[in-house]
Amino acid sequence: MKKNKIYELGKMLGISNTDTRAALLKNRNKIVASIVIVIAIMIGKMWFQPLHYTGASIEDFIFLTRLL
Amino acid sequence: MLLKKYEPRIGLYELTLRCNMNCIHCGSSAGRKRTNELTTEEWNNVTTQLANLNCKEITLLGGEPFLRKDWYKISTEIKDYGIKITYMSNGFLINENTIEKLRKIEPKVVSISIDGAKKETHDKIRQTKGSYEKCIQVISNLKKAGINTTVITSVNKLNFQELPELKAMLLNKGIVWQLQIAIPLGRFKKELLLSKEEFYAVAIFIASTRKKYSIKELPIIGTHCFGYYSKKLRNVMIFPWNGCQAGISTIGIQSNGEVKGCLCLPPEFIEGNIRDNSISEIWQKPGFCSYNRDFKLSDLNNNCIDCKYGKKCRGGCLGVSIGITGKTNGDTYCLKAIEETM
Repeated sequence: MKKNKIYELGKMLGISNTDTRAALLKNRNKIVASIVIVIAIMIGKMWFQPLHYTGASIEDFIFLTRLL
Repeated sequence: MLLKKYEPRIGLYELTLRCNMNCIHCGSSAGRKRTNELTTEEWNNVTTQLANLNCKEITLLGGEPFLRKDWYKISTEIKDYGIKITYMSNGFLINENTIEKLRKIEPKVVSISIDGAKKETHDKIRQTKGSYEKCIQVISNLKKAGINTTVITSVNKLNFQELPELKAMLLNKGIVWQLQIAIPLGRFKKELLLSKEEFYAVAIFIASTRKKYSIKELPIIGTHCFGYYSKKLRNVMIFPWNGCQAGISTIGIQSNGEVKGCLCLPPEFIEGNIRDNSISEIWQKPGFCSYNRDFKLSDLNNNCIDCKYGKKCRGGCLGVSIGITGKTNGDTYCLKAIEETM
């Protein structure tokens, strides 16, 4: 998919090109996210679960923010 | 040996199929209760068995879980075992008395459905007049009581355009916002299913909102049905997708005791009844949730055939795959697949 198509789809919900650009992945983020997840699993703070049913506790976000 | 590999860490209880609403997207076609629903003692027995199998979290849903008069007794039993509890409710029946009891239970989260920014849209989807105002009030009351609250929005063609307005409503409220797509299972009509373009636009919406606002301002997430392995967008979910967890870490128990790997699966996936066998026997039975436990790459369908993530992904959410395509292991609403074809 070309970036222009992504911008076009973002406009369906009124998202500006700048905001859509912010949603695009950067390789640096992949590396940071991988390290965080590996550490979280190693220290037993994270395990995978289907969020569809559990909802998401705000605690999950606080935990991730603290690590980042 | 098997128990070591697969543990039912998440239990899903359909406390009752009875519901006070008649939502157009209800995958369980909830309304009337099932014949011969489990008694309080039977549910408590289920909890004891799951606690012995190292269950960490139990979600109470329905139908509408708060329609059962014994919801508090069942919750207390779960809490006494040290298992976390989450609730999924339409919110309509949560009054001051319920909130007082919920405070004692200290749930991980109470999830309330809001399906539109406009009351007309929400009430139309829920087919219950006055439900929008009531639910907004309940969410506010839950927050005031210090209970972690999540708003769940099932996105379909009727409410798709209202997401920006909903975002503005939920900003700075300390409420988690969870988005999921409505799937053509149960009562939901296929013509209201989002197109793939709309689906991708929602994924952009989630990723961009998460970047634009801090966690304190608006914690927003897409559920597991919201795309796998995108090469373009930041993660829409919190965790990376690791395959359907039915029978791996999740077990679903219907209100009549029937057991499935996950409650979102249709009736043909019922694999036992807790009235006939213990949960341990059902969980350890050879062939239980074989679609996940004995998965082979040749099981993949639709766009998932030959996908390099096939082994890990197993074709996405089984419920979504069946609901949209009628086939297992081939969820066509896949960010990676959409990116490759558009």
